[in-house]
Amino acid sequence: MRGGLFLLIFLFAAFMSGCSGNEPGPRVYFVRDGLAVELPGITTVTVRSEGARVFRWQRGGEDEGALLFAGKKLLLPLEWSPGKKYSVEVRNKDTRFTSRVTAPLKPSPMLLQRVELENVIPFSIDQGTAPDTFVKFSGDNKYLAIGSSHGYLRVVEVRTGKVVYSRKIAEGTVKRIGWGEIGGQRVLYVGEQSPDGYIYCLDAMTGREIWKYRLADDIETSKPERENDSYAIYKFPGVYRLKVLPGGDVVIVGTHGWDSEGKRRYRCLVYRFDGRTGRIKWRWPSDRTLPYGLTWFDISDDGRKLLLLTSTWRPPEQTDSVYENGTLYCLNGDTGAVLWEYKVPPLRPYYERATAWQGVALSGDGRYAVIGLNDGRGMFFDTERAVKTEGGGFLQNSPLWVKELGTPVLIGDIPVSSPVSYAEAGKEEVYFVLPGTSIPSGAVKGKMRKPAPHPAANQLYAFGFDGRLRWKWKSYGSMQGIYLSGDKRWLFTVNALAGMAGSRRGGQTSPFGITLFDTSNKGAGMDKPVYLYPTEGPVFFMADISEDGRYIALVEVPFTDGKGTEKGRYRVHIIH
Amino acid sequence: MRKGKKFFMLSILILLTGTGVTVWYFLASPGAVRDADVEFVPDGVWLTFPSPVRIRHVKVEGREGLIVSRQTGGIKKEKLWLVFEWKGRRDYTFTVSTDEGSMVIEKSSPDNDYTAGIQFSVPFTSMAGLTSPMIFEKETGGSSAAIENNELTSAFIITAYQQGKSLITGRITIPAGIKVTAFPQNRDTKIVYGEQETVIHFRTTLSVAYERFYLPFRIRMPRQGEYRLHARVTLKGAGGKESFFSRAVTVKVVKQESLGDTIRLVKASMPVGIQGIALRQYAADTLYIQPGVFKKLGRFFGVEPKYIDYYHPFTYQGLVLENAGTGSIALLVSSGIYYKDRDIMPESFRPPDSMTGGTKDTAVTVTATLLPGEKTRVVLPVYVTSDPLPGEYRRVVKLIMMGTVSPVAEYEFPLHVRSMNLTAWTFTLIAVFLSLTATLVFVLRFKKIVAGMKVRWLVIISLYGAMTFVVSNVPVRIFGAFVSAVTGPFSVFFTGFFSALLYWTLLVSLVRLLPRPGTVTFATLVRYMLNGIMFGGFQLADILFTGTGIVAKESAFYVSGLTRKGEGFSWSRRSVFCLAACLSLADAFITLTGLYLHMVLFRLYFADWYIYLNIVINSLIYTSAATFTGWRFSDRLKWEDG
Repeated sequence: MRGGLFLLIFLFAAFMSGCSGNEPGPRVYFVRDGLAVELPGITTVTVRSEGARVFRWQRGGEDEGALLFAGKKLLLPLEWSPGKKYSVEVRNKDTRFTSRVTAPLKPSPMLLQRVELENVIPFSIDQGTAPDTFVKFSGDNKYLAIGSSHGYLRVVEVRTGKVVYSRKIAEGTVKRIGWGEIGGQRVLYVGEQSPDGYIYCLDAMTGREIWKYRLADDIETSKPERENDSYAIYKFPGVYRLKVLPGGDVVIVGTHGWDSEGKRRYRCLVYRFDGRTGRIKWRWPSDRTLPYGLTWFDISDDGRKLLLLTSTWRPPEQTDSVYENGTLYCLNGDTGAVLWEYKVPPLRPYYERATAWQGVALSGDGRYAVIGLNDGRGMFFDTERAVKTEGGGFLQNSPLWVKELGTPVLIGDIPVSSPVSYAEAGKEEVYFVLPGTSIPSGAVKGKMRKPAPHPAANQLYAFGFDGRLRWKWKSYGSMQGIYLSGDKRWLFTVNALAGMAGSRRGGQTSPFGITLFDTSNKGAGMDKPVYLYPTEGPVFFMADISEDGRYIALVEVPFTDGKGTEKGRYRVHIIH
Repeated sequence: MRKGKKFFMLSILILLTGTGVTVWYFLASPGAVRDADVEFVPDGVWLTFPSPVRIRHVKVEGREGLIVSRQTGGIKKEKLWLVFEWKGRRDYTFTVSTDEGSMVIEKSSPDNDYTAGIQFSVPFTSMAGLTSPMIFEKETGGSSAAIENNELTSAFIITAYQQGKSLITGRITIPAGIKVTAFPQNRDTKIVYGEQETVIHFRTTLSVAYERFYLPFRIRMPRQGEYRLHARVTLKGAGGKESFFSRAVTVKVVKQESLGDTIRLVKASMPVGIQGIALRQYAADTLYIQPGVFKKLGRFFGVEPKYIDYYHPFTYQGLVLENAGTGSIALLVSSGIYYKDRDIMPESFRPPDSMTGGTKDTAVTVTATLLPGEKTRVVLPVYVTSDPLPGEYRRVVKLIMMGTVSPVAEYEFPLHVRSMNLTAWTFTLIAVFLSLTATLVFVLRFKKIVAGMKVRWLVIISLYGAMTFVVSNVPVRIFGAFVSAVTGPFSVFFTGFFSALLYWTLLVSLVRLLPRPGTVTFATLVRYMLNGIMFGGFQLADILFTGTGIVAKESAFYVSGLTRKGEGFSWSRRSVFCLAACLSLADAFITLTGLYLHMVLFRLYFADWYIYLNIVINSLIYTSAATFTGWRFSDRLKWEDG
């Protein structure tokens, strides 16, 4: 009897020992502009090639550009070339290891930190949405601020992964975050989506409140029309875009769109705040709210030009006497005055008005503007080309070129389009991302499931300023967002799951993650991607890349696929 | 006696270990790395594993040396996409390091440079994916069906997968009789009408990888017959290298009336699961709508979700369609729910308007492409956006061939909307009453109940309670979903083995050891607490179910005389029959209460036959059998008091 018990315990222990799969030695691999070495308690690394020492790092010594993360992951600067062989000697306090490695054709991603967020209910193909989350690196790339769907703000130190603090600040969602500085002190500007729709200025290292402003005082608040609506949060006022200008001012758009008595109502405003005091420098429109939706804007690096597009997905309940729906406005960033406008002609017969999501961008110097529309068109403008027209009013501009990328095509009898949801301007190129396929509202009778993807869906287009297609990339899943480093060299997009609940069927549920491109690489297509960083779950469309392009922050969200398998967790990955 | 005790202890150990190992097996990874499937696509390779594995590192080597060496951070994936530029007819070695070990796969790339993917569809109903090998073939042919005098959207699509300028010239030949009604009007596309055929000539230049040329056109089909449309393409790439491609589609044109015979509705079910599998345990063609006040109560007690996703279908209906013809058929399948006596859709059944853009039309429509001889399952969502009035409605399903207006077939099915089931409510109220009473009695008489128990009795009761949790709850928890997926409503045959047969066997043997009121209560509470702690079960339904169960089981044992007479109970065959009858009745009552509680609290409207099946299998067969096995099992056990 006793012998049997021991046998059982032994067997159980033997089974459990098989669960461990950790490798004993260091991991050595090639990353962008360097070599990654991973070993707990790492103390010394010596890299040799062709018999000569090319790099040496010692803990506590001169770092020579090397970066140690969480005491065990080392990023060494090294200009490696494919096929070249290296010998890497790694020591920790116990052991010495020597790895012989060959450089591959392309680098590997390097996971630096993972930050676990709250527990959330996984969304699925037919139900729910990904939790709204926002991430933003500080200007010096030392910290990452994370705003979560449950209203938590976290500040994480990138090198150590340490959470400086985590604080619930919003009775809703932390929608947007920006880093700033007041008198040498790091501050965070945090915009929420909640019944109050506050924008806060906080001490970045403690979360202490410096000032706040309640948007609901201007753009109203509302109650969800339906009881216990899981999408109710999106009917509250919120900060949909926030940019901190070099001088310290903050520009935001306050958006409030909700349903009431069968009508769609909007109240929106653009503000420029004095970042130090919270005083409003200007708002647009100055004397009333805009009865159209504003979901995105872009502002030139010097803050002197601001671009936005008014749009509503259903007819608005009222119109404005001066400003029009479906119109592109370029504002003077210093005063809020309209510099020019372009009334985007609707793409009839399928669309009654032009609308956009996050497809509004300006080149860094503000000279060129690019927009991506939900009807599948991409347009490019010279912001200095506006002209006067008869009858007065604002100056009028028109596009230098228009690309019909995702405009409706008939599949069977059903028109499908691919919205150009994201647009960005690089140094000499503009980028459009078309994340999925949609059926123009009201174009067909009945609620229709998409019969097939649009031929242009899930693609990234790079056009030169001259309108020539320079390169393209096609993803298997829904490609979303365009994130560019400060020098516009590094570009990444995320692989997520498109659409609202009920419209996600047929989408790929495997290629989740991000794709990083080096836009400076010669060639096109396969030459541009640097790597794919895969994740278990889909990646939320709001992500960030540090100003120097070294770090990428992405938000993985839990998801239940069509077979009922739960994939991924609610967490942030910081990668190189 | 010693032998019996030893056997008893060993059984417990084996059960605990067996369960532990089973749980470990399912939670931990198996010991060996399985193989992976390697699929070459124009932009790299897809690795597909038989089941999700934790991948740490992936390496690809070829003749040119190390191509890919990528860290993946130990993420769990079933499929992994590796982007690299492979060359045709070369050997590649893939090394995948996972938590389970490493695997090395050697694979040769296909004898195809994947210069371009070419699709020619008549009608055009879906985009071919990159992983569809047919689009890279030099020559392919297919067939489809159409209705005479109807218009079809067709398309020719070519996608370049290699960098560099490619000049594409081609022609689409359309036989006489078919009229081209629309085609792109540009300088690179022209149409030439001839007596024998109509030809669309086109040319284009694709300069970057992934660039796509899309040529849609519409044609009007003539009278019945077979018509062959043909596309020929020449692709001139860098260095003047030419590639030729040929695509043909034979369209069989039939009369609308005869198509009704070709497309057959084999089966229609509602409710069905998200994959279209019929949920037979629920009443067919019936929606159960909770009264508003109970929804609020449910939310208050946490049995209803706090937030409602109005875009989420209430349930689904499934259709199995068969194409008995010889060509592919593209269909629109639409469904609407209407009042029984008029063609008006009640507001409650209108789909959410996020996609209809607020239009008045309200049918739910999906597309389906049926290959020749194929049976296809079509799943249509059913939306309930507010509470409809209980009563009778009609579900109307229409099959419309693409390119036509009138349906080729139309079907009507009944829809019963129920809000109140008197039996379910009666059982729920009884459950509430019994649970409250049992709780009150237990609380008020706790001292007396416990005082009558010796410590070692409580220990043995707890042990039995834990055992019932291990043999009854854990296996059902682990295998329940799988068994339900495989056997559907008949899962009761398998789950009942654990939840009824083994459970009652242990309970009878326990009560035989300690034949007194309170034994069952304590054992049930131990099981309930363990289940709650391990799997979470402190919800209203569980509390009511457990409370009712305690009262019913205690009453059954008492009425049968076992706990009433105690040691004086005679374990004769006749008495055991009487005990089995009492326990079966009690279990029937508990089973019914459980099902009706689910109906009231979770909107699950079970079919009558499913309820009877549960009672017959669980309560009558398994519980009766368990009484006898418990009796035999406890024959070997004897309580040594003192």
